[in-house]
Amino acid sequence: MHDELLHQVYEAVGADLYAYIERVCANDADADDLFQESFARLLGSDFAGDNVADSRRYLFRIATNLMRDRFRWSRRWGFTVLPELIGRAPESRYLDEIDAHRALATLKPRQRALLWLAYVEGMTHDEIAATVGVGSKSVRVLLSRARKEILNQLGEHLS
Amino acid sequence: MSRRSCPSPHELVKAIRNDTLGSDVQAHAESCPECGETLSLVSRLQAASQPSENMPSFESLRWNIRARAILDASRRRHHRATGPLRSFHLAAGLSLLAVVLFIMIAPFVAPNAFHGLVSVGPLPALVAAAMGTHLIALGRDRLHG
Repeated sequence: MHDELLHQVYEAVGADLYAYIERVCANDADADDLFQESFARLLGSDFAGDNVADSRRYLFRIATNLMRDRFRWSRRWGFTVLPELIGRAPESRYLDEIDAHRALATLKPRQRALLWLAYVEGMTHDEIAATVGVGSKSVRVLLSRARKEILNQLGEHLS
Repeated sequence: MSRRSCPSPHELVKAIRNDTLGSDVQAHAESCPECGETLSLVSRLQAASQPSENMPSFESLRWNIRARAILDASRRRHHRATGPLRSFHLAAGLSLLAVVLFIMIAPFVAPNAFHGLVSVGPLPALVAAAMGTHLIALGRDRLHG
């Protein structure tokens, strides 16, 4: 991949990818590292995509794999609550829009990733399955659970 | 709009992102609890989707990637250069192991004093050779970093 295309990809995908990594990792240092690593892997791979859309999907997949590896290594992929939230009562509800990321932070990293890909990136179940590396049917179930959990955290009772 | 024609979340997200959310969808979301929830969730998550100012600039990203590439190449070169040395270490280690096993087995294989003498006789030479090889390998390793 040449510099010009890399720049195009950075301009088109960079901010979305960084926001995704930042919200799922909930750690700025990790986010920086994984963001750069994702681009480095894209450059170092034999990925033949020559358009931004393909690169976008590929980058999100790389970033998700990197985060999964990092969380798996530190045994946090399944369970994470940010230190700043530990002191809060479990029944706390985050009603402000600004607090959406705090509600996200109380979820498991994989749930955050699923919600982000579905409701921010607007990916279909098949695209999420390819990105996260689980079956399409599993995405439906996992996403439904994650959705229920975040709505519970956000205090959504519209029904 | 009936329940059957509820827009999928990814359609809703794309409409919100492109600012093309039609009034019919909004009206539907007000009457359909599930779509209302989805719309609310999408709006809230979108509100939290702005990346922080810490995002590396393109220049910084490019330099970091180059620096990583140089570091990786250097690591690979070092790995290649130290390959024979690692083989040397392995050979020295295996020689030592063989000597130790020989010392342990010799008395059982040659209980007769004469045979034992023959078997154990070359031991000091073998130990010296193995230790020497190992020390040379260690010294070369230190020398080459």
